[in-house]
Amino acid sequence: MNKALFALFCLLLSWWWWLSLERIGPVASLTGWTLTGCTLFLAAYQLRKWLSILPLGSAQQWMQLHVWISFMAAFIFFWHTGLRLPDGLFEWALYSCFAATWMSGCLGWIVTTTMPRRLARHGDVIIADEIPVIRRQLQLAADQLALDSVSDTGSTTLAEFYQRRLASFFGKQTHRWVHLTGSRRVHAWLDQEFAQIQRFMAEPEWKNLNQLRELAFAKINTDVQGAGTWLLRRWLFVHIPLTHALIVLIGFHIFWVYLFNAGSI
Amino acid sequence: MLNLGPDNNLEFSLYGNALDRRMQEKDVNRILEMAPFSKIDASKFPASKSLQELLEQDARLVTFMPGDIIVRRGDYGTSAFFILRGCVRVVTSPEIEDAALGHTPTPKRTHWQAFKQLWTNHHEPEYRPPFKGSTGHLQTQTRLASDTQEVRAYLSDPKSVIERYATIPIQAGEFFGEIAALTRTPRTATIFAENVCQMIEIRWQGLRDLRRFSTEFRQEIDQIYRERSLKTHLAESSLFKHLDVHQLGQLVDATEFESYGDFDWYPEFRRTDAARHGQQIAKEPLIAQEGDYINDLLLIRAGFARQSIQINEGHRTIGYLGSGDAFGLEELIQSTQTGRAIALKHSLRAVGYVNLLRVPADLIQELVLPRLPSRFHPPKVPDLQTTSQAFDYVESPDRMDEGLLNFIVGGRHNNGTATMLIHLNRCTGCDDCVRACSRAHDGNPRFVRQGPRHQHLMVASACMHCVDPVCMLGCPTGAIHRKEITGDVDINPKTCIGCSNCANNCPYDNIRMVEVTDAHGEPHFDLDTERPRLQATKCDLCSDQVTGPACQYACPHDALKRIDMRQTQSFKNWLQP
Repeated sequence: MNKALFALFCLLLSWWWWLSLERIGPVASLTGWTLTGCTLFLAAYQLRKWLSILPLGSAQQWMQLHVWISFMAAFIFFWHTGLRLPDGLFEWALYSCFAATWMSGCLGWIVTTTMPRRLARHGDVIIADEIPVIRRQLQLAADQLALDSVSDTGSTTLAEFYQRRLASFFGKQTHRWVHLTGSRRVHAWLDQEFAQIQRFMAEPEWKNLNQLRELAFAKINTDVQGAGTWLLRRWLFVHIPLTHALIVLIGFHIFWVYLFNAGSI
Repeated sequence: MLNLGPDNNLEFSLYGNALDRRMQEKDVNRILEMAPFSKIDASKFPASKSLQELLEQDARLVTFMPGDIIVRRGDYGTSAFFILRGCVRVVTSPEIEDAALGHTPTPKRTHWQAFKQLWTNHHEPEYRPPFKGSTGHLQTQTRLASDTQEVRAYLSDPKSVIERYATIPIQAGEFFGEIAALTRTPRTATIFAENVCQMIEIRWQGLRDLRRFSTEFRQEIDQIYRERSLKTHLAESSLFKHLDVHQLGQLVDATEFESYGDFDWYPEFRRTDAARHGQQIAKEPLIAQEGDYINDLLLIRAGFARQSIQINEGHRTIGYLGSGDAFGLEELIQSTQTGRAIALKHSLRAVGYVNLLRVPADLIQELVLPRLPSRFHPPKVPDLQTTSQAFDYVESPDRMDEGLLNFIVGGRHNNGTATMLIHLNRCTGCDDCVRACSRAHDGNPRFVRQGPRHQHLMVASACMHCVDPVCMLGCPTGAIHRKEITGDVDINPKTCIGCSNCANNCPYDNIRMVEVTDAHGEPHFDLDTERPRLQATKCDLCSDQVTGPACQYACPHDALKRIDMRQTQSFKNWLQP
């Protein structure tokens, strides 16, 4: 009995599918479902991370597939949409969500393949969890150096310079976006600041100044590492929610397509 | 008064006393009256360390009760035993079950069991099921030795073990355990006391000095080594596979074995500043000097050695050799081909310690080289006449970067068979490796993603499953052991008593002592000491997981790899951009 009911259900489903093919068109149906499959597979990468203890293929293999299938998905997307602009609010939402997800993924891919090398080239690589600790250590060392310079030399020039020009720099992550672009603007700014102040200092004060300079450049490396690790982690906060939104929108899209075409028989 | 058998009617006042103290003079004198010690010419020993002093400092008297396990198959020992009284049994077949030796068989999980971890992992850190009794939930029975106050595992019914297993007796007046002690190789069999046994336990330092200063003693020990192990060892070498039994016998008779360096390299290594590890080359004991004419082929039996060449006043590292590698083969081949003596092109130094076999060059040329397949021929080293040629040779692109080599050898990372390396040019810091490790170990990650670095390479703080696992020295219950099939070093939580020996011995600080807790996160308490119970934890290479090492499996960017540092080619390939 159950088998008969199941067979009947399959028959009805096939008939409905055939009708939908006629109304939606075989190409749109094929590309649409392939695109859905691709999206679900790409989204499953996150699930794979959670199931890391199961032999579902290594993360590296999944990553490679993730990249290739996302490129394939872009091609199928343009095929599916016929390179035309969306029509209506929902289509706009779906279209832009797909584009944003894809582009955020591309950005992430570029960031994850280039940023670690850039960070390693810049200086000592610092683990994200250690960055606040090291920043604080540098700040305390700079504070102490500024105080010591007064008692060592009897001059307040370095302490005032530190207070006016560098205290806020040492206090927090700065110039994140500048560092992300790979610009050396901050290095140049510090060079200029130190060169200027050195002109007003006597030679005995230079030792402390040079030590402060070393701390400042160590702080730049901390900021560069901080900016890099920030981007390496945060791009996923855009990509993953967009993926979830895309899956929901695709669900609605399929529902409405079948409701207003094949479903309305 | 103790009866030591027909030849050994001696009294030992020290029996029954604490044996971690030095032996008394009269005990040493009586030992020296017994063979083989009576054959030793005491005048050959230097005044700074006489034979008497050597035995006082490097030997001790120990008593084993019936069933006490003296030597466990697979363990790494640092001492040999000479039986004064009693009889011990060597288990030959079948092997005593792992569980009875304190080891743990860890079967792979099924797919379902692996999946179940997702919701069955405990929320509390380092959860352990309730312990039974004061010494833990032990499959192995342990007891405190009355003389040394050491924890010893024992077989509760040695008679039934003798009935069930094939065993060979070793009687009073014989040595055992000397090969593992001298070569820092695993014990090849389990040995237990059949009845009350009194023995002299000699540390490897003592054995080494006895061999060095006494020809008679060296011949005795070398003969035991030849009989019990050398033939098998040489037959396993790929260089000698094509030799017949007679030829192999010739090699065995002529081969000598030597040790260089210090077995106890790790305490000094731990004390040395990491930045100075690379500057140790000058301190390393020289085994063979570049420019000397070759007399023997050197085969590394255990430990590591550094190959270097001298350029101007400096020594440049060009590689490292480990167990099974040969030194001098290329020169011997050249010498055979050209018919003239060839000088060594590299120097060889002991890194830590090294145990090697010296096979006479004329025998190699006569028996081995004529039929040695060309695939075993090492790459040809060019004649380095000028400094410029030497630099070209050291810095050739197919060679590993010298700075990297110094980092590996200086930091002793070449000891690892599964060293966790992180390529900083690829690592995004996503921590997927740590999460996967944690998931595979009941919520407790077994490594720290930090460690010494060289350029874009980081050696993470994870157990390397060393070739020379010094962590295994002195584990009283055999909880830390090497798995027979995979060679991984593992800790059996059921027999670990939290003594911290392994954690203190590990030169890389890759073993952590943790307070274990119950299902509510409360610590388990030791009933004897009333203190929280500790256990040693470390990376187990996910030996029970279907995926293998979860950290490597979870890395999406090929930034983390477990590498056997003896496989330099795969290491180099992975380092490529």
